[in-house]
Amino acid sequence: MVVGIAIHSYRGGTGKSTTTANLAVMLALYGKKVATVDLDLTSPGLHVIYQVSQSMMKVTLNDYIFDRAALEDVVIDLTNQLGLPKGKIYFLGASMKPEEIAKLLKEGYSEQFFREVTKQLGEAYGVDYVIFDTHPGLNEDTLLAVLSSDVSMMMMRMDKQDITGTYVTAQVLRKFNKTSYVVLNMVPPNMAKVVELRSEVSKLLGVPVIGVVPFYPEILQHRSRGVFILKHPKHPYTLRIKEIVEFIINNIG
Amino acid sequence: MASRKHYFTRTHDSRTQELRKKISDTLLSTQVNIDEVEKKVSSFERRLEEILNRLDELDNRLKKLEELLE
Repeated sequence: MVVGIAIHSYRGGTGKSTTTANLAVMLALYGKKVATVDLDLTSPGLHVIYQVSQSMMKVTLNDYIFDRAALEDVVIDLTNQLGLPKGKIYFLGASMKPEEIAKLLKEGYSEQFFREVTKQLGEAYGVDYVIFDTHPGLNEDTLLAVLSSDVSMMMMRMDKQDITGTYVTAQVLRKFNKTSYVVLNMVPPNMAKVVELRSEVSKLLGVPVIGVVPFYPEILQHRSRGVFILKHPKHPYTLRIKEIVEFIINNIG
Repeated sequence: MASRKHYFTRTHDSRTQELRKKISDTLLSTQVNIDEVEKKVSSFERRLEEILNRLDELDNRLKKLEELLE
């Protein structure tokens, strides 16, 4: 069975794309086959982290969505490029062309797209997980991606705007009985040490917290040049990502 | 990889638009009492602040103890 995971957040800059790429690679290191789909409509950026140039993306997700290309023409197998000893990583990149972004924003996704792309990725590549890196906010298209996936993973920073927005998002998702989890990202280091942090946030939002990732300046210094955990396998960030992945493997799918 | 290529055909069948309609209706009808939400978030932040202060205090005591032991 293919499991669809939507990674989203109420506000931008919470580290969705960085987390998507690192979680996907860690899942692959556990022998899983993972497809990552860049659904950040207005500002696609996952390809930068994967170091996929625009010239490698001759055909994009937009072409598949508008029936101009087959899935197989869009999917880029990054397994060798990333030097993964096991597992598989596939990437479906979105177009950065303004006219393509505008067209997609105007017409929106169709509900069937999420079901179809997940099913077809399962059929064609035998993937275990499809991770959708979504656009932030409480808009229809993002909610469509979240609600069409099996599981929603909300990224949240520990600031008042993020907490308030995530609280409202969690209330909306509850109306749809959506299985949701929260990952706290860029948590101030002194706060990350608080043992009660997970339970306090879970209690507030009514959603389980499955990861607490402190703020590490090394991630900023890395400047999205490649997948961090591959370059820093012993860094504490990598261990936090491993913890989340172990939760996913043991509890989702 | 399977030899048959996979395409996506967008349909405008009303059945495929059910979820979008439900999302739109839910967003329009959701009544959020923002004062209530802010109260809850503020009270959460106060609790967290108290915990952090307690931790700081413990840290300071520990440092003093270490100094005494040196």
